[in-house]
Amino acid sequence: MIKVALFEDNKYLRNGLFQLIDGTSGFSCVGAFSNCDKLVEKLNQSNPHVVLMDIEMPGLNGIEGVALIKEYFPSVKVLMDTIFDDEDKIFNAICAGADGYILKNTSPAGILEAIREIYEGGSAMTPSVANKVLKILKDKESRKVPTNFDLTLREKEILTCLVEGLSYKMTADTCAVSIDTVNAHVKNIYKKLQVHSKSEAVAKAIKNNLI
Amino acid sequence: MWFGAYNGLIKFDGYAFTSFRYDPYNKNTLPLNDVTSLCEDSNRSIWMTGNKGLCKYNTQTEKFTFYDQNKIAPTPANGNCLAVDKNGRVWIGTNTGVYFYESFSDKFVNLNSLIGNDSLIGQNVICLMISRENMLWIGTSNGINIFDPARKKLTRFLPPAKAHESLGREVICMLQDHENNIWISLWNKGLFRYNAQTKVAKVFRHSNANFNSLGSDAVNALIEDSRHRIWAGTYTGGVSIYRHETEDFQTFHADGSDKYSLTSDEVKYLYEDRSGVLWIATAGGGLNNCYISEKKFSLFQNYDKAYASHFPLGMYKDRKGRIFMTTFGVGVQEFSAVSESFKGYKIAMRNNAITGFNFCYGMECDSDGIYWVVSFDEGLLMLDRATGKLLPVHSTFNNKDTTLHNQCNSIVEDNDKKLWIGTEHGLKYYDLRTKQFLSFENFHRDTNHLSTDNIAGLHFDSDGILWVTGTNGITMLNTTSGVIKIFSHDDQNANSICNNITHCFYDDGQGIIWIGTQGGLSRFEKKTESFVSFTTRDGLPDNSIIGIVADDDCNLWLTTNRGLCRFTPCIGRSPQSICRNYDINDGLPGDEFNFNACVKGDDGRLYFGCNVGLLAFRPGELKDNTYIPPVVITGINISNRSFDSGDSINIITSPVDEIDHLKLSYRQNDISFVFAALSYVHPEKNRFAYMLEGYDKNWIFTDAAKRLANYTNLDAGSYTFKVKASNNDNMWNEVPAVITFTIAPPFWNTWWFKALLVALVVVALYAVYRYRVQQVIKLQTIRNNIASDLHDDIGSTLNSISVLSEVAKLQAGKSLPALDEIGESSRKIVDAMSDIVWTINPENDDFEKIVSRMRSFAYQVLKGKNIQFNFLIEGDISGISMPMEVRKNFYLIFKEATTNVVKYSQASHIRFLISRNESLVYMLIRDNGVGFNRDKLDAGNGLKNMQRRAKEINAILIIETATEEGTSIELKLKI
Repeated sequence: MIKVALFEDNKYLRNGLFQLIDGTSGFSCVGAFSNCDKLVEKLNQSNPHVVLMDIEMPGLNGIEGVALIKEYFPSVKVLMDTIFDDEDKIFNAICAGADGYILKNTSPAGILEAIREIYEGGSAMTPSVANKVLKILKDKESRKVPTNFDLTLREKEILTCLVEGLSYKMTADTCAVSIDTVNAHVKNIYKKLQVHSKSEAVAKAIKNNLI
Repeated sequence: MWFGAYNGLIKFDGYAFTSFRYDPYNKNTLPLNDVTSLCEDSNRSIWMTGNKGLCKYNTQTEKFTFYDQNKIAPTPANGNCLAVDKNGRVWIGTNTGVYFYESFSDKFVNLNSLIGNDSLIGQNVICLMISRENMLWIGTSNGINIFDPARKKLTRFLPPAKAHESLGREVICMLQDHENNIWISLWNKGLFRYNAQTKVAKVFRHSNANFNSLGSDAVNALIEDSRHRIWAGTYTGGVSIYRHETEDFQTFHADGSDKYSLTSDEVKYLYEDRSGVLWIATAGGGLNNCYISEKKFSLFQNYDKAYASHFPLGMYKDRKGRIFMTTFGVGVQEFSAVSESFKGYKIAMRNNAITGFNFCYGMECDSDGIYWVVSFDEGLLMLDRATGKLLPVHSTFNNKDTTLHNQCNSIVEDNDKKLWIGTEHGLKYYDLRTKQFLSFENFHRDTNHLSTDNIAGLHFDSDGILWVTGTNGITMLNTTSGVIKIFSHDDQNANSICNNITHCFYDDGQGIIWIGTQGGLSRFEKKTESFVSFTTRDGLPDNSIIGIVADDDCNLWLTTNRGLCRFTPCIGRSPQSICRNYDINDGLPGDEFNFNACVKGDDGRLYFGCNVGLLAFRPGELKDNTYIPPVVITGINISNRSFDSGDSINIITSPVDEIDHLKLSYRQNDISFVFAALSYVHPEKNRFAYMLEGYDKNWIFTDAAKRLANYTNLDAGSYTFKVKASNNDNMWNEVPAVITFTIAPPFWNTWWFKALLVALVVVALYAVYRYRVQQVIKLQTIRNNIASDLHDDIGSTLNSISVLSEVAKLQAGKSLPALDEIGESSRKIVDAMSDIVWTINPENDDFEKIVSRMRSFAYQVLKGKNIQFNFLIEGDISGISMPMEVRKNFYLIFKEATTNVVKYSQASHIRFLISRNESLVYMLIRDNGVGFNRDKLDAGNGLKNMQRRAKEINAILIIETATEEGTSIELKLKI
């Protein structure tokens, strides 16, 4: 039974998702919240495995919420939920610690699938996100700013494959590694990103008295 | 020049008088009338005495200061005379003694305060004189005192009584001349001259019997001019000039019939100005002036017997240098340069009847020394100097022989003892050997010319050729060979003689002959036989040249009816001939001459017969006036109004001739200047040259008739106006009078206005730019607002439909197709909206971003379908920006195509290629699916849409497909 908590400010959607998740076998919706106020309390109460987090919310937005969750509940998986694939926002969410993202207009089946996947340890990396990561690297390199954000050669290779749009499977083939290795590398990449940006989110949350 | 008159003070600049009169209503006018004496102190102020007291006029501030007895005491109210000593101190002689002006205290001090116990011999001081030793001579009604300012001593001037005892003591005026004689005018007792060193005394009185005596016993003014001539201005006796050698006077009286004489015999004052002109103030006759020219013209007149010297018909000099004049009615006059007198030869007629004998036109002295004279209708005469008789040789009067008849004009002797005679009807000659008269026609039968013409003159040139002047040009006749050559005027030939009526002739002996004609002077070169002519355009005073005589300096002196001209032919490098003209204004006694009545005397003088007598001079003794005149600007007219100091708009704040600089506004850009040259010798002959720097390129010359420089419509800027002038004899003052002025530009032309305009324009442009930027930003904001509105809330709610439809399925427990469709359609809407939002966002203008989205889409859509794909990019896709329309359609075409592949093609592999080559973008989507039959398949909206979208963005869409061979969709776009 996958315990899912969801954060969504649109009441129809929240209602719908709650009913969907809770009404599907294998899933249980342990909390449906409209905002990230008192996030830690809410999580303590609901104790989910996976959090479905809407990005655009009043008050603390989803991205900052992710950072908090990852800070205080590192084992909880966070799936970002967004209506439009705003590249920058997605990237920021991932940097903040999100494990993956889905578009809201994914079919309900797809939504459930994504939750399962993430529960099982996958982490999504789409070509656009990979592209962005590469870009950041380029920027840092060109500006010669010392950073704790260095990718290994291997990681760069994998990134490149992902940018090309290769699936994890194809990437594994191309780089002569297993899919798990690819996964692990991607996680590492994210970790590095997160280290880079998580602290900012936490600082912001503290500042806004949301913790 | 300043003059004091009965009604005030008068200023003169040579052309115009300015009066200063007493106006009781205006404080700043002359405060008194009847200015009786004037003097200038060292501060450029003019002091004057008048009926009410003393007054001082400051020429720089143009203000009068009045010393009224009531205000500043003691003031010499009854000032009689003024003098300024060499220390600049002003002395005033009054009815009550002598005062001087103390400038630092602005007070008048009586002389008595300086002389202690001494006192003046008379308290009524009539005249004052400053001597060369800076002594103050005081002339009173009772004698003369001399004051020494250095020693502060007063002495008495008292020559030996015997010399002057009958003359009385009332002193009118005094003069110290250059020989240290003191001249004293005593009231109605003439002049007393005394020299203190030599102790020589002399009295000069008027005598009716003596023409050369003083004009009258009442001498009002005495002056010694710069040439040491002593002038006495008398009351009722005109002006007398003292003659040193004879110790008598030459007196000039007023003569109503002579416009060049004095206007009145009552002379009150004499003064010589710096240019050498003597000014004579009269009582009732106004102002006269007199200039004794340095040009020494002598005039010899024979008043004896009907002005014998006045009608010369010709002049002749014999080999001994004797000068003869043939006259109109009085025979021949011989002038002696030594005795300067005339001796006449004529034929006496009974009862003084008029006879043609005495109208003598020409004469010649032959090689035997016999004088021959030709006359009007009495033919040839012989002159016997010894007996003084004129004897007819051939007379037509009662001789029937008419060989020689009518008017004979000239006579010359050739080398062959023939006397050639030019008559009214042809050329004749008298053979001295055979004593025969012959006409020229007899000499040569094949020519007609010269046989009937009216011959004016005959001249032999240095080669012995006879030249004949008349009305047919000039004719050259070789008397030996008889060859004639006629030179007449030809309009077409510039090298012909300038006129056919020829008057006079001169051979310079160097191969050049000068001929005076009715129309100018012609120069004939014997070698080339061509003429060069000169007229008034070259400076001649008149075109009719009547006589020519050359001086020792190779100048030609030409006589015309407008005076005399010294013609200097071009010599050496000087390209132009120079004409220097003399007329009455130069002192020429008469300016009407007669044909050929001129000779060069052996005494160095040139002799000319003119209408007032025999004129003679030495060319070197005609001295020009060398006084260099100061130039002043006397008037300024701005916009046609004349301005002087004290004008209402305060442009000119000092007297015009003191102004250095004017500041004018842009409307005051019409300006003219009036100027004068302060030389009073024939000021009408002064010449001027002016130039406005910044406007005129060269000096502009003008004469005294137009002393105005006018400039209109000047642009704003700085200008300098300069004017220089010459005196009557062309002596130039090269230092010009200068006024600078600036015309301020109108405010619309000034730098600050222009800068302001530019600033305004810049600001305006910037404002427009900002406005447009604002508009764009506004638009952008609207777009963003739309985007954000579409975002989340609407999207989420729409999405809830999809989710709730699924929930409904769960709740219904079974599958309901309708619900599936609801869910699907709602997802589609959100998807479409997502595309819209993405398209609107200007951050997605970048082509790279478009491609990125395409990649993401492909990834998403193909992910779960087990279709492998290659997404390849070729070329540089950075830096391209696609406008909204283009990227929307481009992306949607791609989306449609990709969706089709997924839906229909059953392909296992798709190849995507996006390439850019300069301005061409190429997209290829190739699958390895089943393809479709284009004809068969109802294209459906999908393909149609793609075509439409491609058309909208002017791109070319190529779809290639065949059954079982896959499909390829290509898009070519120009950016």
